[in-house]
Amino acid sequence: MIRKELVAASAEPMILSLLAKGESYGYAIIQEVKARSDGKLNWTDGMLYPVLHRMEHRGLIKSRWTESETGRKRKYYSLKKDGKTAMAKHQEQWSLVHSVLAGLKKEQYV
Amino acid sequence: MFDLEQSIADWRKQMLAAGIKTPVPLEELENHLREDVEERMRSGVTAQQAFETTVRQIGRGDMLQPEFARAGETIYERMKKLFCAFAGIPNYQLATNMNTSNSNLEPGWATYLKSAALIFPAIFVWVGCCVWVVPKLKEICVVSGTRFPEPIWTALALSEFCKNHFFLGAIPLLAALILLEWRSRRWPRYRRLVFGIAAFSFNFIALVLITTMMVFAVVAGANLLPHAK
Repeated sequence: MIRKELVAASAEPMILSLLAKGESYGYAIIQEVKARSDGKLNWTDGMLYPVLHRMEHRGLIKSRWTESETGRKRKYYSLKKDGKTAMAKHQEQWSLVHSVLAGLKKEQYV
Repeated sequence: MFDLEQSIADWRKQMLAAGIKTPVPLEELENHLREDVEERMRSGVTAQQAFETTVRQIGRGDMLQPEFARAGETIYERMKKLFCAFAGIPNYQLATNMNTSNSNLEPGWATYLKSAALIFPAIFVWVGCCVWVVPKLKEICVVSGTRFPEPIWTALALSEFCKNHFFLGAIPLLAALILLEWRSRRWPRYRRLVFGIAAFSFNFIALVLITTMMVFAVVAGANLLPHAK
């Protein structure tokens, strides 16, 4: 299992990157994160929604209610311009962290 | 016999009791619950097991409610935002359990620029008061035989002192700031707070003094009226 602090820190970049592929709703976002991390990134499902709302208030994403094919109402979220900028920033920072760690790991085995 | 609809209704009541009263979060959570339960049941789990697992996975209402409260624009949040904006902290970060990613530190130039922009109107109004309002107020006091208010005297003496010894105060202050920017690793963390509080205090004091002067001018002016004599 991944540490709680890391899960918390990666939530926003993860959501932004997922929404960059196209609009999505809470349940689908959680399922995709679980699938992509082989269930190791385990969010408390309910906690996703306050984060989505907060990101919406900050103008990073926008939402719209729509009806699914089964007749269920779903709130779809999509990326806004500020969200794309924030995502680029996040990805740059995470890449930097990753490259530093990868470099250090490589040196250990040389 | 397990009744899924009844259990969902009970769960909804629990969420409402925990304080998640706004319709949007509750509806979203309920949709999530229903979708997850259906998905689990499709994989062969009983309705009761599916429901219990999903409820556990969603989290307790009392745990979620503060997060929603922070995310939403409640009156308390708006007041907090307004207060922080007055104190020069426009985008204070709300930490949530899911997100601690963004740094709350703003660049130094932004803090200095904002502080200057916040303090400038107060300085402008105070100087205007010293030049135009104070002489008139003194005149009103002399004619009406009213004592000049003590706090205004103190503030005037203080601003006179600052004007006369401007470099004496400004140079050490500037030197201290340069030193902090140059040497201190912790200063960026407190910079905005320090400047925010200083700008807020300065604006607040200037506003209170100017209001006192205006009120006092009206009170002292009333003594000049013929019936008051």
